[in-house]
Amino acid sequence: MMKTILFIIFTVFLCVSFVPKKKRGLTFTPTFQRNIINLDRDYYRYEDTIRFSSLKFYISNIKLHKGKSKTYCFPKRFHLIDLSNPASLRILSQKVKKSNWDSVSFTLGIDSITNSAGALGGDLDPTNGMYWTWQSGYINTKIEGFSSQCPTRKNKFQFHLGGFTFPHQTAQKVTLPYAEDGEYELNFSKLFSTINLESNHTIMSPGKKAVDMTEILATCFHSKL
Amino acid sequence: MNKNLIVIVVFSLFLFAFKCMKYDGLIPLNFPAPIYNFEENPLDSNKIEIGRALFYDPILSKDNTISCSSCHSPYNAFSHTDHDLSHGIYDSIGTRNAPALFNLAWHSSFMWDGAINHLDMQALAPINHVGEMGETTKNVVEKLNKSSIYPVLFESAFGTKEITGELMLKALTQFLLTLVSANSKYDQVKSGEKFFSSKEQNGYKLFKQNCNSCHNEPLFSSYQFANNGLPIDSTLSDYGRKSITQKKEDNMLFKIPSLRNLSYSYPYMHDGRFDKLNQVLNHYTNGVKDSPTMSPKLKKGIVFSSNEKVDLIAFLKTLDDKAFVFNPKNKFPRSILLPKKD
Repeated sequence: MMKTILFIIFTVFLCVSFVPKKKRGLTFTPTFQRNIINLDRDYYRYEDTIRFSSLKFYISNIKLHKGKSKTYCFPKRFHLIDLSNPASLRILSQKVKKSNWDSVSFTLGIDSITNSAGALGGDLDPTNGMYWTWQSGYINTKIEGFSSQCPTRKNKFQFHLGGFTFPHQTAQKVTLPYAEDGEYELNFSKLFSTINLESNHTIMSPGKKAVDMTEILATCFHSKL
Repeated sequence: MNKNLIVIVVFSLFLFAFKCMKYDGLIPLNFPAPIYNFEENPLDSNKIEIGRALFYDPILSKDNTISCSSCHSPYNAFSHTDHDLSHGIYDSIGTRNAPALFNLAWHSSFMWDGAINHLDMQALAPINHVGEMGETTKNVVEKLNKSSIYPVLFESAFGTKEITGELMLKALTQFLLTLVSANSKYDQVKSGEKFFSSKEQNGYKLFKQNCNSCHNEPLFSSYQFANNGLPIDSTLSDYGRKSITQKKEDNMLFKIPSLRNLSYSYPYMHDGRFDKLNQVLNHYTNGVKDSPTMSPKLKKGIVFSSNEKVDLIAFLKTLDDKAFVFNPKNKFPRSILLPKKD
């Protein structure tokens, strides 16, 4: 009898200690017309049919804030969010404590020091296709797809948004209220409602157009309702 | 107290000596401090050898025909003589003259227009350019991982068989950092081993009076950008640095090249328009075209008599570094790329 009880206690203890610690962090869900975006799927708008073939962007320096004094910095600094790799949409850390955080902040893009630092690995490796080759610098955001509105070959739109030198720095700081579930929406309907695809369909180099579009994209993050 | 101080001084001297030893010969004593941060990519003989193999291996190009050395030949001080514009896959012809490669740790940017901000990232440009190697970085790395040569080499040098873009670029950089040219007659005169002839001495004087403000000793370039008054070539319409910065004050500015190894690296200028040094000097005396962005240093005009031109060219030839151009350590690595089969 005693043995059985001991065994049960031991088993319960074992189970509890192996239950994984809850990871907290952020999940980004790109949406269009209130639906989760699927690549290579048609979305119908009043003005056109739109399809995304690639959606990639860098998020860096994620911090949680409570009041003015308490801050938690995520240990990994740079994250490449790539819609074709669902695992990349979740950025989690076991070390985040439940603490009624007020807000979360991060940079959409890569800072200028990192842009001038030479060859880097992991999410920053140039094989990820997020580094320009004809000129140095990271592509902070890559949005590619098709719209019947685009007067381009195969109706393609290509937005490669980057640039880190004055006066065309594209990296944008984003601050959002903290959501306990860590779920954040990136509303591409909002971005595309501001773009006239008939005239603005191709951005492939740093400049004012890239800065303007990134500034709008930075306002498209929302905590999920 | 004094004893402690002596110990500290001796110890720091030892550390300093050790630091210099590590890059023996790669940072010449008469050169300024390099711009490349060696601490971030510490040199290692195995890594340098991988970089050398990559530099000579056409695996970097789409159809495996073009290597870095196709346009940067060691015998031309790593430029391409006889070709005004660079060549690429499928007999493509580019828009600029392949520059000579040496003393790269002292460059703050790369390319004639400074498009590239770090030596590590330079190779991405020719690899991905449709008219040069026509590849993608990702595909090159895949080919390297599948090759019979490279995974073994990377494992011994970097401790991993898995080749990434980062490691490939760092290895290439290591080899490029060893391309140091500092053993010309000029350098030997400076260190007291040799003496200039009277022509060379007079040429040196003329150089210091007329050229040294942009082609600064001892690198013989400030590696800044300038418009040296070349009339625009309407077949190329190349506006240089402006295409990168989009600033009108950068119109027709190109990176100032070094004057070292000129005998090996003709033709000259970003579009290879001059084959001979005489033509270059004639440009500076008679051909400079004024424009809003022309270097103010050229505004007052340069005058050389024909004798002075001869002397100046005699001096410029003392900047040829034969030991560098024929250094076997810089050549095709036969033992890696074409090993003898038993």
